[in-house]
Amino acid sequence: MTPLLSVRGLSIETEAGVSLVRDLSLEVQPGEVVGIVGESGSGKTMTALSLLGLLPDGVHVSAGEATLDGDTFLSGADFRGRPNATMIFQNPTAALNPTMRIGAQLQRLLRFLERADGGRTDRRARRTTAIELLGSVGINDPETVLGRYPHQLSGGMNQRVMIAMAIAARPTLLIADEPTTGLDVTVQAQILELIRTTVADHGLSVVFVSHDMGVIAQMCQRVAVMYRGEVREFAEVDEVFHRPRDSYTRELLSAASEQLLTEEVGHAARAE
Amino acid sequence: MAAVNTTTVLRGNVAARLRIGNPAAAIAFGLLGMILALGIVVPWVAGSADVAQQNPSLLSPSLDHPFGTDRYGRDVFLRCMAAARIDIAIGLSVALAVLLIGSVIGVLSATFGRGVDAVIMRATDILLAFPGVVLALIITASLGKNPWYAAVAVVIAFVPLLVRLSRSKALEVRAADYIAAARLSGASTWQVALRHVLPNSFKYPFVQATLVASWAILDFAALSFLGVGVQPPDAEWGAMIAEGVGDNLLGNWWPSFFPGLMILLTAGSFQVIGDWLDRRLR
Amino acid sequence: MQLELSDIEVVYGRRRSRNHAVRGVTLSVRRGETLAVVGESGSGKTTIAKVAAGLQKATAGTLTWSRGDGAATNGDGPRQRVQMVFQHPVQSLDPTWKVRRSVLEPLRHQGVSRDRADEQVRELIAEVGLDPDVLDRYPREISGGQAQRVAVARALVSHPEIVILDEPTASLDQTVRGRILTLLAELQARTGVGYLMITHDISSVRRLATRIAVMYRGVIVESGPRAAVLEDPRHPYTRALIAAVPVADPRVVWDGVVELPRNPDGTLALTTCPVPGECHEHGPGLHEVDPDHLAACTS
Repeated sequence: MTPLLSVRGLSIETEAGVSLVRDLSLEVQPGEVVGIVGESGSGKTMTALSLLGLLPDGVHVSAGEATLDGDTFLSGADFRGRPNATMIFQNPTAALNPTMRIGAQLQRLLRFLERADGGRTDRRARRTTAIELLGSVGINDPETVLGRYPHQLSGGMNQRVMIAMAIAARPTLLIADEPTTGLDVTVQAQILELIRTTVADHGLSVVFVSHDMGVIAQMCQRVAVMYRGEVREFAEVDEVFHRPRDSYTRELLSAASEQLLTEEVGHAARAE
Repeated sequence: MAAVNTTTVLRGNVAARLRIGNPAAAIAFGLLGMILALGIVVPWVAGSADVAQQNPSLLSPSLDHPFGTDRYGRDVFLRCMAAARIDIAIGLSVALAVLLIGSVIGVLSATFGRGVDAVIMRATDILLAFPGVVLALIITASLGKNPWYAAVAVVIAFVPLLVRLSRSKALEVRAADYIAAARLSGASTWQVALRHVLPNSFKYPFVQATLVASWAILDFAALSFLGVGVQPPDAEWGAMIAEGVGDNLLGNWWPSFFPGLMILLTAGSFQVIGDWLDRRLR
Repeated sequence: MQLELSDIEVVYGRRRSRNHAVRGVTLSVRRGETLAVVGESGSGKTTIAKVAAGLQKATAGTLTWSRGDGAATNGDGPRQRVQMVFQHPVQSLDPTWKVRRSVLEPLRHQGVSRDRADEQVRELIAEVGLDPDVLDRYPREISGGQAQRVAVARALVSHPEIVILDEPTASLDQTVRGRILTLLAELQARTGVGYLMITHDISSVRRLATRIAVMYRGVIVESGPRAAVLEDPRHPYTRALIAAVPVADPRVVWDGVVELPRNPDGTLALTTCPVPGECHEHGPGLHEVDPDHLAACTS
C-alpha cells in the first residue's frame, strides 16, 4: 500500500543553528492514526507545525522532504503550498478569533473554501452548512453556538468548533497537536471519542501529537516515540507498549504506569 | 536536556542585556556622556562666565566663541556648559528621588490596600489632575523663588506617575505564587512588600524613571524660564533662553538657540535611552 | 496532630454576582497520611487549598488544629505548620532570589541561626535529590523538575505538620512527574508529614493518596479510603471521572465517555442516588455507604 503521507529525513533547526528535529522519517497510511509521543522539547510539535508550513519565526526546515498523496509539498527549506491537510491545536480558545462570533468565523471559512473551489453559494446555504457541521461534531444547539464568541464557550466546546472547521475543508490528513491537553478529563474523553468517530466517518489519516501515553494507546495504530529531536522507536502501538525496544520508551511507559517508581531518588534527579 | 539549553541561552541573554545593540541608543549615550564631560571640564578650565566679560556683546558664533556671546558679552558656550552640570544633575537626581519615593509608596499602597490604598490613590488623582509643569509652578510660586524649591516641586509633580505605575506592577506581583509561599514561610506584610514585591516590580518604574529624567530637565528649565527656578546671573538653560528671548527679536538668535538645542539634545538622549532600556529589560 | 476544615463555605462576589466556590466542605488531614482532593476545573478544589493554607478566609465554617489529646487550637493561623507546594514550580520561587535564599527564608523567620540554617538547607537539598550547586542558581537557571524539588525542600525545611500540594506535578513532564511523586512518598515515610493533595490527575492519586475526596461544583460528592473510592466508586460523577482516564494499554478497550444525565445548563442532573434506601429517608448530603466510605445524595 502506498502511504498517504510520507516524511523522509526531516530536520528542523533554529536560525542560531540549534537542531530541534534530526532526520525524522514517518509514514501514514490512508485512514491510519499515527501518534508522535514525547516530552517537552522533544520536537514533536515542531514536526507537526513544519508539515503545514507553520513553523514560528527563526525556525526552519533544514533538510528532508514530505509527500502527501504523491505530491511533494515540502522539500528542504522550500514549502510548496499547503497540502490538503488541516490542524487542530492545544488551546482551542486561543486558536479562534476572539473578536468574531463562531458563526462569522465558520461562514468566512466556508466562503473561502467555496471560492477556492470556484463555486458560489448564498449566505443562507452557508449558514445551513455551518449548522450541519456543528451538529456533526456533537453540538446540540448549533444555532445558539453560532451566535457566541469563543470566550463564552468552554474549552471542550471550542475544540468541537475547531474540529468542525478542520473537517469543513474535507482534508485527507488531520494534524492534531495535543488537542485535549488542558481540558478536564471527562471533557477529554468526549473529545477523543469525537475525534475517533470523525476520523472513521471521513476516512481521515491523522498525525496525533501528545505527551500522554494513555491517549496515544487508545487513539493510534502506530506511534513514533521522540526524544530530543530524534525518533527513538516507530512501530505498532501494541509493539511499543508491550515489547518496547528503546530504553527511553520503557522509561515513558513506567512513568505512565500507576506503580510507584522504586529507583533511587538522587540518581533520578540528576537525570532531569 | 532542553532545560539545560534554555539555561545557557538565558545566561547569554543576561550578559548581552546591557551591551548596546542599537545605534540610536549608542548615539544617545555618547551625546549625553559628551555633554556631561564638557559640563564638568569646561567650567573647571575656563570658568563659568556668570559675570560680564570683556567681550563685545552679541557677537555671532565664531571660532573664538562657538556659540557667540550674549548681550553682556558672556560666552554662550561657556554658559551652556556650566548649565549642563546643573541641568543634568537635576534631571538625574529628580529621577532618582521620584523612583525611590514613587516605587516605595506604590508598593506599600498595593500591599496594604484598603484605606491606605484609597488615600494614596485619591492623592495621586488630585496631583495628576494638573499638568506636571503647572503643578510645579504652583508649588514653587507658593514656596518662593529658589532652585531647590523648584527641584522639589518637579519631584512632587512626577511622584504620582511612578506611584501609579509601581502600584499596578506590585498588584500583579502580589498575585504570584512566590508571594503566597513567602507569606506561608512566616514573612510579615512589610517583609513581603520590601523583600519580594519591591524588587520584582522595580524594573518598570526604573525604565520610567529614565523618561522622568528627560521630563524633569524640560520642566526645570521651564520653571527657570518663567523666573521661579535658577535666578540670573547663574547659568541654566531655561534661564538663558529667557534672557536671550529679547535679543531674538532683533535677529540675534544664538543666545537663546544654543541653550534650547542643549535641552533638546539632553532630554532627547534620555528619551532614547529610556526606550532602549524598555526594550532591553522587557 | 490533625488539620480540620468543617462546614467550609466560600462565596466570591457580592449580591447578584455571588458565586459559591465551595459549599459545606468538611475534611481532615492527619500527620502521615495523604488526603487527595480530586476534581475538575470549577470544582472548588483550589479554593480548599487556599483556605487550608490560611491564604484565603472562608465565608463560613471553621479551620481547626487539634492535637492528639483532643485539645483544639483555634484562631491563630496555621502558618508555618502548613506549607504549600504549587502547580508552577518556577513561578513559586522569587525570580530575584537565589535558590538558597528561598529555601532559607522559612528558617530565618523562625529565628534559626544562619549557620544552623545553612546546614539544614544543605542536608535537605541532598535529601530531595539535588546537587548543592543548585543553591547558587536563580530559578530561571534550573529545570521545572529541579524547581519543584527546591519547592518541596522549602516546604519541608521548617518541619511543617501538613504540606498542601496544589497540582504538584501538573506542569511537569511525565517521566519527571513519577519521580516527584516518588520523592514525596519517601519524604512522607521519613518525616511523617501529612499531605493535602489537590489534583485533577487520577494517576497521581493512585500513587500517593491514602484517602480521597471527590469534589464537583463546590461540594464533596464522595470520600473514603483510596481503594474503596477507586475500586468501588458509588457516586456517578466519581465513576465518570475514573472511567474518563485513558488506559495506557492498547489491548484494553477503553470507552471513556460515561453519559451522565445533565441539566439544560450542562451541569450534572444526578437522579440516581448512590445511597441505599429512599432519597426522602436520608435526605441530601454525604451518607455512609460502607464503613468510612461516604457518598452524597444530591437528588
